[in-house]
Amino acid sequence: MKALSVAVSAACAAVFAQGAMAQTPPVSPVTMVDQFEATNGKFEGYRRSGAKGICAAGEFVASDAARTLSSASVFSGKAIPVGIRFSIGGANPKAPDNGKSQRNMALQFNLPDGEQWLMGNINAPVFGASSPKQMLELVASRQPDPATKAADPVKVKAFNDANPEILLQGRHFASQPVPASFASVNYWGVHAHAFVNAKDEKRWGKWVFEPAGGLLGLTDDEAKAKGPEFLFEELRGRVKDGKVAFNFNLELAEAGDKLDSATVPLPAGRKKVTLGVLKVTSVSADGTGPCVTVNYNPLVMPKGVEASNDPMLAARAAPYAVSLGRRLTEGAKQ
Amino acid sequence: MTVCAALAGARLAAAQAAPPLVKEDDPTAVALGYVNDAAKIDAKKQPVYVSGSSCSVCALFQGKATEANAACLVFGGKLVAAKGWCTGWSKKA
Repeated sequence: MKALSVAVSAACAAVFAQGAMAQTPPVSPVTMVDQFEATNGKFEGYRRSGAKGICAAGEFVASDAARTLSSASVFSGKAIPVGIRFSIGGANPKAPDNGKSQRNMALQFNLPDGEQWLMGNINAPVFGASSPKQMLELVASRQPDPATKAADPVKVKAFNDANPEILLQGRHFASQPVPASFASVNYWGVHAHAFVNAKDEKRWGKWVFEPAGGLLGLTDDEAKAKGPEFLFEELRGRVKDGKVAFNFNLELAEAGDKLDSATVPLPAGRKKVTLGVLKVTSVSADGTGPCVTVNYNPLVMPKGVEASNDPMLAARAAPYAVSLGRRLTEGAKQ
Repeated sequence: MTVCAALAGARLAAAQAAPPLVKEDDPTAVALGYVNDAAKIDAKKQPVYVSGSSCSVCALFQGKATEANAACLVFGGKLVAAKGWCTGWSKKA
């Protein structure tokens, strides 16, 4: 049952964290957000997922290798200011820091001439659903029964049995230790993108931000001793010491690789190119900061980077918008 | 560098060049069914459209109601038309 609950949380976590391409029938973004609220609870002003978070800032400097892949201004090699939001998956703004649940690193690259690149990255190589329809049905299958206040295990099992790929993300979390820091886990982009260079040559890949200082997890006993509130202060300390950086790595796809599903990672061993280094230089002292109303719509990309046909990628923009609209009218909180 | 300093730098950079207007074939615009003129919406094809709604009275619109174009929080700083509309529309409080 624990594995199931991890899977549910994970599947839901990134959708709002941080519009569907013409699927049939399309999922209304209003219906999607309503279902998230019905299943996960409504915490006014907070993101419908990734509710517990903190703003940070940093800068990105691209590698020479990045410029051979893409003409995007983000890869100029000059220091690019980046707005960052680290968060815990789920709708609860008091979610515990010491669980084997989702961590998110959402980024806003602020590029010349007002151009932006927004993205949400999660600490799993796969997303929790492959399509908006599957995501909606997944969340609906976990809606608490009014009488028991818990999800109906029969419905949960039936949905899982019919959609086994939705369990992959939860299994990944269950297999990993509790992260010791927001700065000590990998963050995957999970969706394929094309990188287009000045010669109009296109290379497909999926990216992952890997901590320059290496991975670090907690034992179960250490996690229990840390308690539910330690990640924000831990991050402030690390950043103050100048120790937080991530390598922005792109795994290059090869012919035949599946590019239209966020529940299918690229095969192991694909060539990896380091696109540059992201350094985190400051962290908000409290729950305020410029990230509070940034919606990290992953369809906002610079010229030189293009989206794949992954339906889950396209499906994130509209519910993000609906969610942010509701938060603004409620009074947006961290 | 503080978060605020980083933001100030980003805003300064953004202020130096006028943001572009969102085109209807922009990936986000397509995903959100954005149109520059809400009057052109076919309500049968867009059942979530609320009559009388437009960007100028949306919570996500960052301009004054009198401005023809302004930034929208879901388009990464690009400008939307005050007369426009998308499926992310949420009534301004």
